[in-house]
Amino acid sequence: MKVTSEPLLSIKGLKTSFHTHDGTITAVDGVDFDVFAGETLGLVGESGCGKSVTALSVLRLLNPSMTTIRGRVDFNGKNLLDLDPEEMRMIRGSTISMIFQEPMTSLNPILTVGEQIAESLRLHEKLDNKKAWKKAIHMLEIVQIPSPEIRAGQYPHKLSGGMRQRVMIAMALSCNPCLIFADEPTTALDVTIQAQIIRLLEHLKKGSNTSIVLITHDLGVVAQMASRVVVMYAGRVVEEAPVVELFHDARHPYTRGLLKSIPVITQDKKTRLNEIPGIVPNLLYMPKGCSFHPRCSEAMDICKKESPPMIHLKKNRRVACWLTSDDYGEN
Amino acid sequence: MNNIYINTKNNDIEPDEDVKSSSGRGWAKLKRNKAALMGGIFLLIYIGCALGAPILFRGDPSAPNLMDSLSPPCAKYFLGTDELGRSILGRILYGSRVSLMIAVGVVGVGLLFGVPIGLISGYYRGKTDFIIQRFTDMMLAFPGFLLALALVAILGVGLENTVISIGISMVPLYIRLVRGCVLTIREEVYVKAARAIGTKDRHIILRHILPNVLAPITVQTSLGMGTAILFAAGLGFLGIGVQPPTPEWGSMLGSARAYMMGKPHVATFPGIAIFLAVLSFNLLGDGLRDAFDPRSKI
Amino acid sequence: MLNFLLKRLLAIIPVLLGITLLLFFMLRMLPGDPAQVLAGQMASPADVEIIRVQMGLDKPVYIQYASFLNRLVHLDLGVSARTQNPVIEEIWAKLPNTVLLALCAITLACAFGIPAGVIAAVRPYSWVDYLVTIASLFGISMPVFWLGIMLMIVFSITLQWLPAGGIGTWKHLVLPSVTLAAFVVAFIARMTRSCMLEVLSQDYVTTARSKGLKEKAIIIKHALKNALIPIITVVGLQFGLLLGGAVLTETVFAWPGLGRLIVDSILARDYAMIQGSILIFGLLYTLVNLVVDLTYAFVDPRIRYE
Repeated sequence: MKVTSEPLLSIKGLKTSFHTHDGTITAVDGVDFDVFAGETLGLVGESGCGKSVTALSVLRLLNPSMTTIRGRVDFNGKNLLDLDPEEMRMIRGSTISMIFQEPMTSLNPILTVGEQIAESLRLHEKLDNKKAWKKAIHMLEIVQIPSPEIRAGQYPHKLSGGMRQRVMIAMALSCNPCLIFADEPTTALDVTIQAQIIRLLEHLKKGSNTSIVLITHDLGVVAQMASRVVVMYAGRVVEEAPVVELFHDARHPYTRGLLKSIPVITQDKKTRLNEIPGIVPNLLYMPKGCSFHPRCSEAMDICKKESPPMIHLKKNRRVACWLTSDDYGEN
Repeated sequence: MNNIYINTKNNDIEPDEDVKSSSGRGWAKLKRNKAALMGGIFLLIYIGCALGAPILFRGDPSAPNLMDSLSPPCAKYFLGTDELGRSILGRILYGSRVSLMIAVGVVGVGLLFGVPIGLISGYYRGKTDFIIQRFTDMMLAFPGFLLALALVAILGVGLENTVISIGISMVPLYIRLVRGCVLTIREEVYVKAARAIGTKDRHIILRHILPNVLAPITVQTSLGMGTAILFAAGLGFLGIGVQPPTPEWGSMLGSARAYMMGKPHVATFPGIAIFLAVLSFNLLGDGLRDAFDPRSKI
Repeated sequence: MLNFLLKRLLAIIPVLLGITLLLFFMLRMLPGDPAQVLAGQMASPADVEIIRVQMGLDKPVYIQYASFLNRLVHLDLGVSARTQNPVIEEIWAKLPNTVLLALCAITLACAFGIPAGVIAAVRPYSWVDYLVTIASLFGISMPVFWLGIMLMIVFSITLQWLPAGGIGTWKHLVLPSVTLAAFVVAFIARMTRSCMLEVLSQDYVTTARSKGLKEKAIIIKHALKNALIPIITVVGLQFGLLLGGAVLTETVFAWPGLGRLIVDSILARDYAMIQGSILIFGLLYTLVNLVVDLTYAFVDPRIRYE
């Protein structure tokens, strides 16, 4: 697994806003991060923090009449946000692909599973019908679906949730993309199936140079699979670190809160579970200053007035928190 | 070390002042819908015509005046006259009373029978429901207009029979609609809870179920009034609805057919009246549906 | 699917029986003597007695119903008091005309309505969408007989391009079909639009987009194919409604179909004919609904492969 110094994908200042009757909601508010070839990057945060929207913005899958996307997304020397729709379309599914959260609803109910894989192959790899079908069956085999020739001719409703997610993975891998966005790939599945899917993803990653952006709220999955982690809160990046460092030395109070709230299987049943008090802010009414301060146990005066700057501690290590700035003096 | 359980009153997030009740949001949405607003205005004009007909038009709209027969629109007769020399404008104005009466009557019949039967059928299920459903199936085995036609064949012609026939043909629609809603609502937890504490059935139906059925009923009623006017006009056109000399838009069209060749205006204006009236109910009904019941299939 | 088929077939039996019951009692709900009613106003007392015995009207009700059903099975619907021909013959002569008209209308309606609805859904809030929405609203608010008269005034009387009524060449078919289609095309366009909008917001459409499929493929292969399932159901039901709407259109254009027959019979108080034609209409409508259900089952793989 080579990790070159040039990032494969470089997101700079991404801002995505939705225009609704109640006002403009900025779901992604100035997000930057890089993805390098061959790595697994964990994108972590609570529901509604903007992590899915970030992925959808990169792939430009949002409704253009209702959304405004600003910033830069550099990939292979081009800014994806500047490409015209036809060029973008050719990148989707072939160079960058996505795995979605809900396997139950993300597959077309009236097309066979094999056809849904084959159509990408016919389009991007220019295979003819026969070869595409054969490769589709092969893909099903790769994702460890038994009796793939039979399954390929079946409709999604005949498959279980775990199998459907495998099909989604097969679809995403079929054209050998260099980058995959996996949006909560295991959230909708049973715990035991989750473990199987994670193992499958790890297995598939071995020996390939494909990068994965693993979007999840589950820190356990992150610990297992990711090499680096980016933590998001209310549309902004609050912390970034290599995975081991994040778990051992989280700097942002939110990250610390998340880690503390993981229940320990050996803890006494009678002890209270730790939680981060309060709720995620309504994006229409964001608090002044640091967006996390109302829930932060270590909030200072400045936190209530001004938004903290992003402080770069080392390469690939940064925190957006006044506390860190205090330690280090001025940025 | 601060207390980890922070009192959230100390933060400076504004509380959610704009949270409206779901019906409050609905009204706001309705007001934004320009088409529905237009429909509402048309409807008010229509009701105004109906109520104000004696003021807006002096004289007897049905009194023949053969000297002025079939005159085109002019200064004296704003919309012209029909074959018996009667002012078309006057007949249309008085006709709006008739059609409004029919619309209200028809929907009244539909609601009067449809809602209670639907409520009972959906709530009690079992044999009652089965029988009622088979009966509804039977009635729905005929397209609406045809059913009304058949009933007119049995009951006879005239205003009252028109209302009854069309009304009866609408009852199965209301039964189906209400029953469908009731079936969903009765599975809600709060209904089960009410039954668990021994609340009387009648109380549950009236206080818990009925309010939730009001939204689709209202939509159906608005659309149904439009349909009623169309059906009544259809029967009138065929000569088996409201009988002359009572001014009814459909029968006006029916008798205008003979004069289409030279005097198209006799047929044009009553048709426009029907069209505008039905359009207003449809615009309003659509707006109501978008605002209060967006997932409905009607 | 076989299960589904059988269940549906079984379900129409009570409906069919119900229709016959309804019509059987319809006759007896009329004021006066049923035999007199059947014989018509022109009949002599002797004729009335013949009818009474023929129809078994002197026997108890359940025997009457049984013989009514028996006669139905043998396609004996009585004799028209107006023309003195067997009812079944008159119906048989006129029915194909109505079916032809309805088929033309539904074809026209689908040919224009479905594409219009798709375009409106794919470009929401564009001028096409507004046009389709407004045109649809107009279409469902317009009385079909008025539209027919207006079209007749413009195309037959003023422009003299098309005949004003009757049957004969394809030219005679144009105005009645267009008139009849107007309401339905509006309804189908609206249904298509809302079904497409719903499908386009589904997750699997986002998945299809993320695979980089061409927009046309997404709209037709992924979205429309799914949306067609409920649309087909609606189209089928509309066909049934068309049979009812035909009554008015046939009257306007003097089209010799079943609808006009019913109207003439009602005006002439020809009750055997009224009963017979409404029965046939009901049967036809039920049959159409059954076909729609079966098509639905066939097209949706979730039901087909159950």
